[in-house]
Amino acid sequence: MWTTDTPLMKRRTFVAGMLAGAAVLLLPRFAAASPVSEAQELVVTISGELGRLVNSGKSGNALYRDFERLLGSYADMPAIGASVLGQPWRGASAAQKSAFISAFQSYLATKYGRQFGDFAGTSITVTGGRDAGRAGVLVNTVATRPGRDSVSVDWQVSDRSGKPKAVNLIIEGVSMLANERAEVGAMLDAQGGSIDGLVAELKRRS
Amino acid sequence: MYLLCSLTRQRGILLAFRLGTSALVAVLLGGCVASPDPNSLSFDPLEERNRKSHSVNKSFDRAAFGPMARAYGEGLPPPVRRGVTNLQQNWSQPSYVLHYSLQGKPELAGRSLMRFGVNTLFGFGGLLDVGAELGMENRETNFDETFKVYGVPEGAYVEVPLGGPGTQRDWTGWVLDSLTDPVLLVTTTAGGYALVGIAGLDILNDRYELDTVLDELYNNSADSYTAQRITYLQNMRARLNDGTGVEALEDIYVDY
Repeated sequence: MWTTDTPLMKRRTFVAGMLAGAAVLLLPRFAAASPVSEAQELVVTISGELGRLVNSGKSGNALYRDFERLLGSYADMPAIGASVLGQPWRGASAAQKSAFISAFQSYLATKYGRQFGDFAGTSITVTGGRDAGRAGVLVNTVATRPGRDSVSVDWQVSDRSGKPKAVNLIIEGVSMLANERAEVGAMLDAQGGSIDGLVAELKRRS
Repeated sequence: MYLLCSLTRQRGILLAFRLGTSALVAVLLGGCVASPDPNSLSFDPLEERNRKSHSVNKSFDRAAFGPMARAYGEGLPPPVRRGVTNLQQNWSQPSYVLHYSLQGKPELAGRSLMRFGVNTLFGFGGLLDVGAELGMENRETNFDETFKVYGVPEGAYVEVPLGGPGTQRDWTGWVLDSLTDPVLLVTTTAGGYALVGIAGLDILNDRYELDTVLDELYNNSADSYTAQRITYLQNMRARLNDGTGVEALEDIYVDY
């Protein structure tokens, strides 16, 4: 029995090995073509940059301004800003729009940069990813922090700007977009609906 | 996992008033109003009363709760605080077994039961979390989740003075949970005090771990009341749904 089976097994193993080898060669190319894996790659890149920044030893303004540059490179800030501002965006002049986006980016970097101290030594692991159609791709990650509870961080990535960019961050279920829409809305109300007043307020908070 | 969930557990500061204040009971019995949209972050019929509670809670946090939490967090080394958290989680498992059974989730009920057995026997009564290392992670549950499973709507958002954020369903569940905890029902008086004390210390730990987040929320928000409501509602829903689903994502390129 065994002696007759062995050559057949060997042949099968050989064929299987060939197929596996071919799959290994082909997989990265297939993978790179899918929006989900492209989004995951982007998240891995951003996580790496964030990790370097958090552990850079920088603090205060130097840290926030580096983070602000990262936001500019990897997040679609004009789209995020427009979505956060909502209706008033349409009535704003081109100059107001660009002033708002720039002030909002500095404000976000400062606000979230202040939390970075809680994330020293954190490693971010991609745990999943799903296509969300027109909304983009949802990439799930877990931030593991030494000696503390891990934090679930989901990234919404979209390539509607032409290349994959982050458009929202959802930390423990809490959407940055939803929170900032309420916050920016409250600031705009406090400024009597003036975009210029809002821009000044965002700068004051940066 | 419990970074923001702990926001909700701050309510435990009310442990001293286990049956709740008469104001709370009035709110809970004052008719459950269901939001027209279950995903709404702005449905808030009790906003006027809630805002008053919020300003009480902010003052209380600044004057007492925050400083106590920092004293606890900075005074005790992390392994000691971890042990308190482990004990709190371990002695909550019998209640979880009950709820997972009511929810028709036998695998989670079994995991909680196993976890309780392993940690009580081999983890010095739950001081060490041996279960997590064996793949039995802690997952909280309570009446809020059981009610949800049975189709009860969240009701209105309720911020309770000295209690924190919640919904009508969540606060009702909290009162019932306090009354029906199987461990508290069978333990001695001394054991009961010990467990309530451990739960109280763990709430201080949660508050300490959230210090940066809460400082930002309370002191730097343009509208800290709304920021807390939105944070609480999203976090609670994600927790009950075991994460964020793709259907919750918005298309941010609409109309611009």
